[in-house]
Amino acid sequence: MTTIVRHSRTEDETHRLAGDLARVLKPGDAVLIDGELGAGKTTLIRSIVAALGHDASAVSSPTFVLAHEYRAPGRPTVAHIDAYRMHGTEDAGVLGLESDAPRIILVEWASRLGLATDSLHSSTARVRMEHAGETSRTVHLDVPNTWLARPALARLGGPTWAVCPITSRAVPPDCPTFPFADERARLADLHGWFTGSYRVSRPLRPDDD
Amino acid sequence: MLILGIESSCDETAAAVVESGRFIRSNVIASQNDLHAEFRGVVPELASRAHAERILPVVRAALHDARATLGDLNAIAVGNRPGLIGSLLVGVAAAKALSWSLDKPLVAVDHVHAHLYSGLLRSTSVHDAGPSEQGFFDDFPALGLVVSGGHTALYRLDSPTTLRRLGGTIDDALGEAFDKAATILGLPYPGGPNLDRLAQTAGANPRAHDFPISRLSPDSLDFSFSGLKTSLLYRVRGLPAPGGVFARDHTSLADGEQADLAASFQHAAVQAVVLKIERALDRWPASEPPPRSLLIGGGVSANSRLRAELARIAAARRLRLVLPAPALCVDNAAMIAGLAFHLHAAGLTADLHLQAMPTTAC
Repeated sequence: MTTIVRHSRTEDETHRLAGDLARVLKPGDAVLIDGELGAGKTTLIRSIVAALGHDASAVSSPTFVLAHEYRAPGRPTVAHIDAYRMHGTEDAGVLGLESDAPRIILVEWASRLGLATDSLHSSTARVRMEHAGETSRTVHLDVPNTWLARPALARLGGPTWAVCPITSRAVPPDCPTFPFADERARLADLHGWFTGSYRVSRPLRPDDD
Repeated sequence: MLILGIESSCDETAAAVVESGRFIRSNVIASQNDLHAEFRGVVPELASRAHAERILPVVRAALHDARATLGDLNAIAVGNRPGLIGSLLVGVAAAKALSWSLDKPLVAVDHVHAHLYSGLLRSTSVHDAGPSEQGFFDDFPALGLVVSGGHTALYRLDSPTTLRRLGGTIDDALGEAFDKAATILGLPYPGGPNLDRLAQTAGANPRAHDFPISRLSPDSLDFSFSGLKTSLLYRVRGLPAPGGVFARDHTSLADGEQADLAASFQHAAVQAVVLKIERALDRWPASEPPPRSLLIGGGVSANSRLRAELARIAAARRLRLVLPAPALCVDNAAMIAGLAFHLHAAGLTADLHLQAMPTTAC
């Protein structure tokens, strides 16, 4: 897990945060969202669903009907589940959280399901929304490490990719030789230091440590 | 014409026999409230199992109450959307099996559309009906409003079977907003009716708090109740400190304050609905036949303040107000069988490929 904390002062900023999150999502992912009444869970989901190319006006809270599904040609199918009225289901399969069906699953009030963390598959993120003032919210995102290989995570505020100084290739933050593309590039860089081809570009000053 | 209707979209298993699309011969509802009460919520896998156990006894009871046999039926109708897939599947499978084995037409009904029809049903017998009860089209065109825990939307209906959605909620449904407001105020289950009761107590002032009445854009016919819910939350608990911590909760409310908050919340929520109904009526195209009635459906149509406001609008605009009987406000199968009469007459029948769908088509 990698934790990202975002502060959002207005509904517009929450909308942008949702857009950044939507860019990271792929079919098969699940996002479990928790937060007090009025924290903005449905609003966040509406913005995510809109950013994925669906009709935002189709999104409303499924508290009573428990689940909504949004489908459109050429867009990833989104399942919108609300566990507010559900209680301690032991079977994540009932909600499709374990299914390999190619859809994105967004769950409100997820903690009411009492799902054990180890029952979740490796592409599940948790989001916690907190009231921080009348329109401001603090959003804590715990994203699985399998998402670190996705370049769009940087926009969300996750660890950023690097450009390998040797090969000029993009390197994901979870690469074992980060920021180098591979072991050969890392050794080539080390060789540069050993052979003196790297040097400081100006004379030393007394206040340089 | 006798139609058997089956409804299993959420946590009620229901079957009904309706004659000629209007006269209820039987209306049986087996609620799962007790089953889910111990979990304080709906458990999806328990819900579908309970539907499977109850569907046949409920269908049998509906036929028995109607003093009809399977052979007397002219068609089988089922609510196939929207709802929980596992629950809907039970009703759809039962209806398909009956339709196939009896060789009678199968009619698929959208649950939300059926709610709009529930006010047109009569519990009288076809033989006792006066001449005014025979015509179906006197009430159309109509402006329809569905208000329940799961749905809040406005429709234009040109006949029982043709409807167009004009707008709907972009966040919470009205019934859900009432339930969550009741939670914030610390009221016991069932939240909506308890909030209504508290708002009606002597001395409760609906103008004590100035809650926002959502308008959205000037020509929008959509609804939004989440801003109202959040402002009630802040009124009860104060503004949150960093870390999302609130200083107070409903236990710090002074005497009478709870009733004032309930009345003010209800006032703002109902005014938002009234505003959109008036807007829809004002925008009705002048070149087209004017609306004749307001068709109301769904559980929140039992709310006292909403009923009073709807009666006021109907009287001012000379519209007939069509409200369902209390037993037909909740999920039921009579509305499924009633609407199916018109769908069948229009040739809108289904075949054995019929699928259960999680979302409404309305």
